[in-house]
Amino acid sequence: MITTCRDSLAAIDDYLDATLPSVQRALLDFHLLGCAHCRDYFRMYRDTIKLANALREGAPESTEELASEILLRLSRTN
Amino acid sequence: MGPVSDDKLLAALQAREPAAVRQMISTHSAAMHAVARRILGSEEEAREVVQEAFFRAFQSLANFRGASALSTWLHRIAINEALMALRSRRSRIVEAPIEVSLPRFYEDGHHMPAAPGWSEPADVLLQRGQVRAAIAACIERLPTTLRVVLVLRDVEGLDGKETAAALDISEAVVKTRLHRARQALRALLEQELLK
Repeated sequence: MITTCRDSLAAIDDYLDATLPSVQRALLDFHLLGCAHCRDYFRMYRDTIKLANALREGAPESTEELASEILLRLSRTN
Repeated sequence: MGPVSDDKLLAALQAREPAAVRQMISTHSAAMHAVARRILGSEEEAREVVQEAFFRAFQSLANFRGASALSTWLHRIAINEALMALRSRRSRIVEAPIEVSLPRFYEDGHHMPAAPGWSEPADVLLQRGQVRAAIAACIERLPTTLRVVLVLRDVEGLDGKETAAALDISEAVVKTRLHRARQALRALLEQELLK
């Protein structure tokens, strides 16, 4: 049963993954309607996941040295 | 050598043509390095892991059946190598406590007042210069057990089952650690973004 902020936060991942049972989801939605603290926390928690997702692509960097090292190691294994 | 298909590149790689080797490394090393660095939290170890990952990949190229893209295959090798490196130093890890304030509650389970967090949406925050570096730095400050789960789930996009298998822990433990990691990262980002 979700009635408090602590309950809401414990269910946040299932809520965002849309795996929370419908009754629990409705209770959580009802709690969020009346709780600015939790609305704010949920917003930032969702943002946190988006910001981590944004790191998926690494910045290109020079690979010449690495390529030379690999080629050297490969030549030794022939 | 210009861009070629995976099939042609694979044939050239199996023949160990230097141009193909260079192309493969040039194309894939940045993403492999990024994931290794995030798992290990160390630039130096990440470089070693990427080199080892490429070397292992070349040794097992004959086993690559093309069931996944070359990039996916290489990425998983890099993740596995980074996790192996992590396990080899696990006995040396002294986990620091999370030095951030997690949500606090009254006895009745309701939130205690907290400082207001950031107000801009994630898409807007990402337009700020250096914000990606700040996010990466915050992730590196997470304790290792939490950081690795967050990197695999939220940065690399593995699902709970894949993460559990990669780390040899249960899906329930993945879920618990991910929740704690996200809470800690939110708090660290709050400190960083409101500076």
